[in-house]
Amino acid sequence: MSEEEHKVSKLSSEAIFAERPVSASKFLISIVFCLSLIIIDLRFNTSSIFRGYVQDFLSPLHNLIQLPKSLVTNFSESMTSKEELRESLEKHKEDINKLMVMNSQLAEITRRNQELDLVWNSVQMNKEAYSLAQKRSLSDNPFRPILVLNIDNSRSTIKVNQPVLSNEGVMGKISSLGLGSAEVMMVHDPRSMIPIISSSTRIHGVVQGRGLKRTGRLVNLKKTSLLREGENLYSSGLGGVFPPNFLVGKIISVKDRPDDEFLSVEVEFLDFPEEKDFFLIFTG
Amino acid sequence: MNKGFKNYLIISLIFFIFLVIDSFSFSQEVNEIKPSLVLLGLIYWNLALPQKMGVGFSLLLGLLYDFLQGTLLGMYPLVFILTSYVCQRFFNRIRPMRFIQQSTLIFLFTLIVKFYLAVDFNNSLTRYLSLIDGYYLLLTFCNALASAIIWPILFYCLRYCRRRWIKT
Repeated sequence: MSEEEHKVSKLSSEAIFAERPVSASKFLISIVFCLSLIIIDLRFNTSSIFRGYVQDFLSPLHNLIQLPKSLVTNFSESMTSKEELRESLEKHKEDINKLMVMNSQLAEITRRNQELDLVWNSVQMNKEAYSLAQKRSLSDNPFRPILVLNIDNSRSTIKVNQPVLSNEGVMGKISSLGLGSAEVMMVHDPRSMIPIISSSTRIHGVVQGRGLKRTGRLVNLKKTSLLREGENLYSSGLGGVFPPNFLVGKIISVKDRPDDEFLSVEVEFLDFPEEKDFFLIFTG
Repeated sequence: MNKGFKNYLIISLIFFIFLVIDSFSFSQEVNEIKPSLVLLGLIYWNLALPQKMGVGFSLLLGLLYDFLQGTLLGMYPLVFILTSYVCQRFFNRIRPMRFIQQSTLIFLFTLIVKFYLAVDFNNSLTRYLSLIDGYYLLLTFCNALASAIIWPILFYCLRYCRRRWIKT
């Protein structure tokens, strides 16, 4: 019996079949190392420097994760019967007819709005200021939701802290950048703070996330603020990170609790982008 | 091929499959309820082959999991190393337990891990140290229950793999 595999009794030279647990010193060193990692990451946010590059490295894994989903989609598409396809075609034909009627109305409206277009074009931001990025993955961690985007940063226009938008409004900002991927800190993240302005009462504030599928809150808002439920909140542009006038969320409750120093305002964010595939990065 | 290396390769492959399965994205509720196969797998291998599972393996696995989950760097390595230590320290007591007892242990352990993951390190100076709310409590309970239920199935599957492919 080899001494390397088992302890051997010094008296009888027989093997002692007791496994040695992990050595306490190794364990302690590892614990100290992990705690140091946590503290350093908290204090200096070191991981954001290389998280993007790690996501580059992990991209084959993400592709592998997407594989079963795409296989199921392809399979279900291939199993669609001829009858279903014919029904779908009929439905599309109906839609086309409706759209043609609507288009004839639109021509008249377009003519009338030519003047307004001029005004619109004067305030419209440059299209080059937006860069399109495709979703690669979405982590399911409720308190640190991370969206990973495929990016083409050949012109080095994409930088950390640039806002990420969907067709509905603000989704988050870039927290880490790699060669071909970018990690996005979502608005739902408890670390996320966005300066906002309310749609009708025009009150400024800062909205903070509280996790996925959870409402956000407006922080440190005076008790005298006259915010109303149902008001939309738009990015105010203060702080210079998020461009102004993009939808952030909607106020769903305003409570004045006697034991609280500030007004308690709950905010519903835009839908979580589980189904969305493309996002805009504001590089302007 | 070296026997030890082959064993490590098989164990790593199983963990790789678990990592891929854990990264599948469903609806948000399902994502929070689904059990962490990597954590359960780590518990199994530390109970079954404590001499083969080192601290370094748990550390690397934890770091990889951190990057996939987007957590603060060091959160999962700490959990995985503690898991390894507890399992290796008490494997001879846990192994003879009945499945219902093992599942109860898994239930409690998963609850503790989920509570730890909800600690708000970023705002630790405020009066709210934790991000736990009623919704999170409910989902955590469901997650722990799912982990406890899946444990016997996973145990048998991994035991089959161990007996079939891992030579000690």
